[in-house]
Amino acid sequence: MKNIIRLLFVSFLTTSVFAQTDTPFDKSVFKEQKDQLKEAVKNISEGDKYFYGEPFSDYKQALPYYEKAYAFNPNNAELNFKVGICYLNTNFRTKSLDYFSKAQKLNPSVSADIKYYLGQSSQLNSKWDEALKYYNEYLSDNQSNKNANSSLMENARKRITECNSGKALQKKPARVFIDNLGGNINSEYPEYSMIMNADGSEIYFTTRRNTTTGGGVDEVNGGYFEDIFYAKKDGKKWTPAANLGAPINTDGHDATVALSPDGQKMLVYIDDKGNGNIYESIRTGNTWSKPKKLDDIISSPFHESSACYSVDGKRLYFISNRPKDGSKKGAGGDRDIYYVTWNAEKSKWDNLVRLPDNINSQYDEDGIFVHPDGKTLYFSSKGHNSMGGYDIFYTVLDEKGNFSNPVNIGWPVNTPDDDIFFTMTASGRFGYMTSFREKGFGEKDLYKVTFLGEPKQPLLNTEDILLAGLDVIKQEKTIEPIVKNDRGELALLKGTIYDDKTKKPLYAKIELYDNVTGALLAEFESDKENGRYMLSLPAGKNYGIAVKADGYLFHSENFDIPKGADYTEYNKDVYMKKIEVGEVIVLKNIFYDLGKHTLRPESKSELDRLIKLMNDNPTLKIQISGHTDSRGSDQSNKELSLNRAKEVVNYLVNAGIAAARLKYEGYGEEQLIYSDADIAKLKTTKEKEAAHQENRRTEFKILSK
Amino acid sequence: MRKTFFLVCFSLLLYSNGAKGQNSEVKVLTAEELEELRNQQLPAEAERAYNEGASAFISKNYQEAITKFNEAIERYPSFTRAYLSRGMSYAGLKSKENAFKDFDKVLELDATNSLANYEKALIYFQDQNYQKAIEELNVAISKNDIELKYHYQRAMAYFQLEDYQKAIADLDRVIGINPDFAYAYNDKGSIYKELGEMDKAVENYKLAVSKDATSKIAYNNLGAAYRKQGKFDLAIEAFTNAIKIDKDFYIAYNNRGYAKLEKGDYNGAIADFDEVTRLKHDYAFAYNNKASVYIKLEKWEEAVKECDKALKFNPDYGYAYYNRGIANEMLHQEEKSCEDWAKAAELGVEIANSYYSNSECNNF
Repeated sequence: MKNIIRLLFVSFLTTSVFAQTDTPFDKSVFKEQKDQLKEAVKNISEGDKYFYGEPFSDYKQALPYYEKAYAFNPNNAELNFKVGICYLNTNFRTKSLDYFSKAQKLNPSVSADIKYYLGQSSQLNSKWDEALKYYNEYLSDNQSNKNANSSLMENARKRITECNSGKALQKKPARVFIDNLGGNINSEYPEYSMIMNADGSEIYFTTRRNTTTGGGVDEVNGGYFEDIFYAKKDGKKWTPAANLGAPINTDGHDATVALSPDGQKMLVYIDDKGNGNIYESIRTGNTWSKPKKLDDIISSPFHESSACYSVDGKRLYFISNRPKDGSKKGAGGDRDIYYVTWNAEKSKWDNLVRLPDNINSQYDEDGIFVHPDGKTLYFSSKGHNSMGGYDIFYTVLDEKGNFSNPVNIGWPVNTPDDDIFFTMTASGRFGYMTSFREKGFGEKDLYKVTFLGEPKQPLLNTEDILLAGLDVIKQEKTIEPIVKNDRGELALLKGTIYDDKTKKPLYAKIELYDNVTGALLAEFESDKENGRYMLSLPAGKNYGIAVKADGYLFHSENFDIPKGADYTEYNKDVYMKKIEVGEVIVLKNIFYDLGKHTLRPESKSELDRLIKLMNDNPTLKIQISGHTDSRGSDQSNKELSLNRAKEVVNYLVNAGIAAARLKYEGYGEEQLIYSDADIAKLKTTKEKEAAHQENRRTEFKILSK
Repeated sequence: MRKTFFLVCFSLLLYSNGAKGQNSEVKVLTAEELEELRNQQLPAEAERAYNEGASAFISKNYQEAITKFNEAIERYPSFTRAYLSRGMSYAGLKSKENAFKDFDKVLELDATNSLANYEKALIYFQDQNYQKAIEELNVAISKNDIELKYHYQRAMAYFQLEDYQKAIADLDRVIGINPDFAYAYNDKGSIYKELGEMDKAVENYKLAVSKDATSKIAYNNLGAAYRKQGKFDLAIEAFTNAIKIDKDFYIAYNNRGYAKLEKGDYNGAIADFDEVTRLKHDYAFAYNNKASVYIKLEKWEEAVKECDKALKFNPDYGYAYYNRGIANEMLHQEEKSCEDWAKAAELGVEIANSYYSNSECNNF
């Protein structure tokens, strides 16, 4: 870079023809200001030391010196150019445009590449047409120039594509609010790479504050070492960010990478002397374990910078610059997205797969994030239709395992500069990103992005007199538009597992089944200390949930989440009952044909659990009871519930459970959980139907053990 | 000398139940009836009392009419026409039981009488007991199939029960009896509009206005059907015709405002909704509709103000809450928008429920 810059000024030295406007730092011009001139020249000299510094230019350090000289003489083309370059390499990149413009005005030949830089700074200011003009002129001017900067020529071609993308994307801006997360989170130091649990109640992020663990400064870039901070939702605000402390934070760089949807596992980036690796820490209550380096299949000799768990925890996506051919030696290439699959038998990550080329562009990808809906992957890329630098994209994984072509999430979330480290809440309503924006707290800050979705259409009313012979005004029926829920097609189930008697939090295993196929989809655990759990239930399945703890009866829940369902959060505390006489358990995953007593195949998983319970406890005797809702006649309800209970008993007997251990009873609508009066008080049809659903149930009761 | 029997007709316009237009034309006595009654030795005092009752009825002095009809019946207990008229007087006083007794007495005295069944049907219709009304009209029609008003009344009853095919059959019968009866075309148009068959609706409304160019109702309905078809210019023209007939027809202004909004003429829409509220200050729909225009114009604060006005006049107006929610959201007042959508959902606006869920209203 240093040599390039020096070359740029060769032409500048020969441009005295523009002396009347391009004002040199020369005694002949500043005859009456010798001391000030001397000071300005000294500042330029000091600035140059950083500008041309070894091994790296330090534009941030050079800038204050140049600005002092600039205050003395703002009409020097070279200085304007240098200040422009400095700004281009700091967070205040958009400011470079004014300086490059002035430099060119003072001396069009200030640099052979001035048009490229004018193009870049115009692009950063979203001035697409100007940028295109400069890039095209730059390419045209240098078309037959053998000494042209080939790297910049190639960049210019790519940037023309970016500008065209930006121009198109800005025409259809994303409907969003972008809000700074505020002083409890952001500081004058950099904050970035925010991660959170699925419901967005806890966030973790990386910061380089002066309170960093050990207080050390990274000599390479001058900033404090990275630490991980966290904050929690306190009503509508965030608690003041706090240092996560040891063992996660150390004297070196410790940075956030990902959090599992239930917030129980965290992936951490550790620099590892430059090659960068991903580590994992496990949470118990409020304590995090010492991060453990992930398997070699992930943490390779190359650079791994980002990773994310899949919703079921069976897949881990990550970013690596390892060679695409799989070789373990040589120089790293561009950053791509890979995933590995959890091999339960070997208890390790296995089967490395690089995402296809429709996702991994020829440029860098980074900042992978798997949405709790289990199918949407957000990532940043410098390729595809980026409008400049990294842009945030998403791709959707279909049922066949194919990823859709990436979609740019649009302006103004994406900008011509780098946009990365994007996460989104389960609902798809709120995203979080890192950005450097005016009116921030200084340096990079964390921002909340509220996605407003498609414009909401107002609803109007009209009236007509439909019948000429009847003087009655009738309100015209309005067909309400259907809300297309293109994000957040899932339900979030969360709560705490307790011992029913002691009401103390309980550690339990949670199994998630697909009731239709009977497949075990995923297994989770509640927090060992506080019993909390959180599950993401992507839309499109009838889920059976079985909560199990040693010495307790299993507890079951059912959630049927159809495709296209609105985002819903369920808070469900579970009270586990011990195997004691008199205890009653509702079997929520037993289904019958409508109005009949025939068991539906979706009931198999639940029934098998019951069989296992009976086999594990051979002296156990139980009663199966059927219950209906209050609709229909008493007699038919009684009959139906009895037949249903009998059907369950028959299933158990056929599975080898002795009939003598089983009794059955049909209670019809005699033991409603919600009375008609309770249901009448409910506001919506949905709530009422849910109450009726609760009333329709099959239970088992322990008669003896 | 016998007094001349009161032969004028009187009408009972039953605006109270909304039925109108078909003069419930009750001839007190036809010449034939008079001749027959005289042959049956109708006492002169009965004839006098009846005539006085009829005068009182015309003056809508139903109580006085009943007194006179009582006297007529007392003097001539088989006076069928007096029972019928007294029944109608009771109906005028909303004394349904007495009215039914008199109509039944008519039917007891004269089983061929269809008018008593018709009058009973009108009472049932007024009570929104459309099925019973249809049953009585079935009897009336079985006695007299060519009476237009029986078929028309039954068509309206079928309409209320959303039994549209039967309603159309009756209206076709009405048109068969009187091809120039504009109401029937209008009502057929409305049935097709309810069925979503806008081409047929427009066709019938156009016939209605061709038969009666002074029908503001038919023009208004024609406009509404055009609007449903997305033919906004034709809709606006039809509503304008309705307004020309009645410059205070606020319903047509409101409809025209909606059509203008859909056409994209937002200023025109606002002017129409303003005219509605000038004519009918407490018409909440117009304020809500004006708010909708402001939403289209992205004038969020103005939209909130108009919704507030709508809610002032109708605190249970779901759409106004829903629309205010949209405006509040865009004002970055998400908590308020969530409150509005929650209220709208409570009032039955389903879409508000979706927005409430998808906006994470429980999780700011």
